[in-house]
Amino acid sequence: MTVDKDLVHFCVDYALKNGASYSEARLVSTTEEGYILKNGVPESSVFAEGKGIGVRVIVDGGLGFLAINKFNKEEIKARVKEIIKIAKVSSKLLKQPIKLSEEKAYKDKWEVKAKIKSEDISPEEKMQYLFDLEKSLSSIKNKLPSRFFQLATSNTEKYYANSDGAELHGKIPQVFIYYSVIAMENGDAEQRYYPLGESGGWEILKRRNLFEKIKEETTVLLKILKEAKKLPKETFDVLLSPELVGIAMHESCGHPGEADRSLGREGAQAGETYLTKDWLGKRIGNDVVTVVDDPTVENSYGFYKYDDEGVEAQRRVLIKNGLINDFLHNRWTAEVFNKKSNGASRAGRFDREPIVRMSTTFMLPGDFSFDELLEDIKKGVFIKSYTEWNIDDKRWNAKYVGNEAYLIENGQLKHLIRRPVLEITTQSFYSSVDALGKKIEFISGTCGKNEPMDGVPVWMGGPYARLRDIPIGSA
Amino acid sequence: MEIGKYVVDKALKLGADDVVVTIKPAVTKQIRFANNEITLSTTWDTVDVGVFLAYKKRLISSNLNNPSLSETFSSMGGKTNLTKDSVDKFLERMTKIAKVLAPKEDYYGIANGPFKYKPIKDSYDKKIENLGEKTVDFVEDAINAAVDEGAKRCAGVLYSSFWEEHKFTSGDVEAKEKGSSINISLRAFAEKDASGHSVSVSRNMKGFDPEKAGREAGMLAKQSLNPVVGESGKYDLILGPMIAANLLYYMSYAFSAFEVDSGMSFLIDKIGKRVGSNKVTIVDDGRLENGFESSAFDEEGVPTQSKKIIENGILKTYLHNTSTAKKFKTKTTANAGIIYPQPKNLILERGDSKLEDMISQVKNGIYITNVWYTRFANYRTGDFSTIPRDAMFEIKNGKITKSIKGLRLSDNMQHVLESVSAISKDTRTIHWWEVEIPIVTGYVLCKDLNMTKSAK
Repeated sequence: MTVDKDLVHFCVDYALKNGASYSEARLVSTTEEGYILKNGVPESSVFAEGKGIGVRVIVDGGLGFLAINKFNKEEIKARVKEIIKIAKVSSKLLKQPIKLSEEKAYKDKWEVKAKIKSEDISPEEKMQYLFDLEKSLSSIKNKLPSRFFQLATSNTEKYYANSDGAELHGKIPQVFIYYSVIAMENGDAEQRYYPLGESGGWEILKRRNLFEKIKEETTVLLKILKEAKKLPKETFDVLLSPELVGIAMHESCGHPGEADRSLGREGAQAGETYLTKDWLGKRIGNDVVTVVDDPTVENSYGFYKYDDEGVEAQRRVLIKNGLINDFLHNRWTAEVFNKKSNGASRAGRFDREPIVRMSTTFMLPGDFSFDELLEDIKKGVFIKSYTEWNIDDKRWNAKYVGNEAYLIENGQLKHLIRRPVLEITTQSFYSSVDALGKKIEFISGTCGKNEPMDGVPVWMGGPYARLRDIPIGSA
Repeated sequence: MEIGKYVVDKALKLGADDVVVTIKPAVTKQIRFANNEITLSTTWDTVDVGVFLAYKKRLISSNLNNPSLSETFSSMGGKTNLTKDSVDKFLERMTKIAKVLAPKEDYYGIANGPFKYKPIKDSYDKKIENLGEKTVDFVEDAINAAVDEGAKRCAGVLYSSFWEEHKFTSGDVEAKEKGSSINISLRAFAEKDASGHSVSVSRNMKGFDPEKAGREAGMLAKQSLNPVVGESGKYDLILGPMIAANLLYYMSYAFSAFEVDSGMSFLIDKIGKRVGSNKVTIVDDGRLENGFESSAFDEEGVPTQSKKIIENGILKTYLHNTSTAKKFKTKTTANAGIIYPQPKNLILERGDSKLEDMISQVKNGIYITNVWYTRFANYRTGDFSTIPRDAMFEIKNGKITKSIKGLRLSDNMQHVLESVSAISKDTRTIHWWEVEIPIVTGYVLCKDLNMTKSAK
């Protein structure tokens, strides 16, 4: 794979010469392979190559963006001129001109190295992995009307330059696998889906035994259908697994902490947030709660060394000991908040504007083992996995529906319970956490935001977390 | 575009059984705004070249988008500079891969043409190609209209787009058409938690009314001032067009033969059975005049058509391409997706009611204007929940009594269809960030649906 660095610099320079006060260009080249196995039958495989340039300019305080996959200088010139013109016109509606925070201009080359390059694994072997997943369910297949497996591998190379002098060349391979299973028993059904994405090569799949995992989880689905009892709507202590804590951190800490939402910029799309600048230093939860977002977690699905505005990746502490501590910033929101960017600007593709995004969002661990957390619960619910979830567009009212979940009595796990619904406000959630496990685990996801939609790979996670006195019951 | 034909012929020579090539140059422009200010203007100028190959039931979807292969494409109307040599190398690689893939045993090929295509009325407007800075004026008009109605700040997006699509297949298809579209989505905020959202969606300038969208959003924002947290329970719900469209969009996966085949649809084994009240007729029309996704042909080149998916509450058909139709022993509904059949323009057929009449007949109900974040606890059964955003009102004894917030609709998709007791006469097209397939719908009255809220 090669990227045409000269073309990137040409875009940056040409925009400056034609009236932009700031310009940047990002050339992204991606190769992808995708495989699907649906109920034992392969669907069409995907082999895609894409390459394009995203150019961003500031003109008279107005912001313009061009995405083009034609590498012809004359056409690029005409389009750059056009976005400069329209950015200038649109600046007339601005009360405050758009300005970016001043940042160090890095020149660097970085790469995530695959131990086993995915492109060295043959299409047959990749497809065989999915057939093996299917095979691991063969003994219970007749009770599983839906078995859907997907595998995708990719290599992305990016070259970024801006008019401040930054020049960054990055390469990142990724692997993504997804399964979804529906189990049925006497007309009743339960579903489980699980995505796993990492930055790296084929070794990611060698490290894990997904064959065991899918078999275990699917066997549990059938048990849920046969044995799970309804939970009365009462107050229980709730023990959440890292999977549940992870999704909650993403939805009720990461998203509300995006400074562009706080400034209303996503108002008509992904929405706004309950968090305003005044919240900084105010209490949202108990002392034990500290939540960070960190793009530097090794091999994480949302890993990067520099963001898409050339700012160095760094850990952001969003909630510190129960107090709102920071927002996720890009260079525009940082300037509005009168601080430096903390490197959260991301675009999932060449043709998307880089905006404030999460990477790996997780709650920091505490001191307890799982058994210690459990033994101090008299009447409780342990939720190990979830199915449906959602949250309002200010990130205040969230819902998580348990998939595998158990009743707890006097410190002991009892029988399975059916779809317990945790419907709770953000403040109640963080204020109810009283103890945390010592180990953290991550789950993978594709985070949705931006207009047009731009899914970006993320991780989310945390330790086991114990919440006291939560009203909860079966759906 | 002779390169499209070359790709088909060359792939056939290399042993492929079926080939579909789609070349789509497109220019899209966008104005984003928030807090009554323009936050970004964008131009996308791209060409996508999609190639689908089948070799002894082994299927590959690929593209020729990498400029290292395609050199340069000229703009609209254009020829490509794809060299024969680079295409040959690409196809040799793809057919080599195809030969080692596992077969999709239940693949039954693509459609055999040639076909005749009738152009679709009002689907291309040259004026959209030359709007220039006028798009900024449209945004200003919409914002001003919302502010006039009582909004303090507006956020949203305006898109204008024009494209060509050229299709060549080994089934003797050679098709092309031009299209254009313009649409605005505007959310108006009056105060904290008081907001309204509306859209205007059209294929031509004649059908585009940004001011109207602004006015409607502004009005809802003002009407919803000072909301209080509502109570959970069973209610009769009036669904405004934005929420009705959201639910129809999210349930539309279940219409696709792909999802039926996957075991994921809540409509499996229900053809000919009742799945909704007799008020419910859902049509998919690929040829709808001024339909946002109308096109003369589907992904494999079959001429598009209108079909009833649900008629008076009875499920009539799933959506098919040629291959799924053969598997299901029926005819294609011209909804390819070669892999995933999907709707073009989904229409909930109009009724004879109107919003005011619906409000007056509700004793204990809620009027919801918009939702987001619709998710399924179970695709197979259709259990889902979704969260109202923007204006929502409590209705008691035929009158709107207050603005409310903090509730969630937690129910089942088939139950929603079964609960429909009235549909308005006025309908409109909804298409925005949350509703990615154009949905034509009006107001819908549903009986006895379940609303929940945070317990703590």
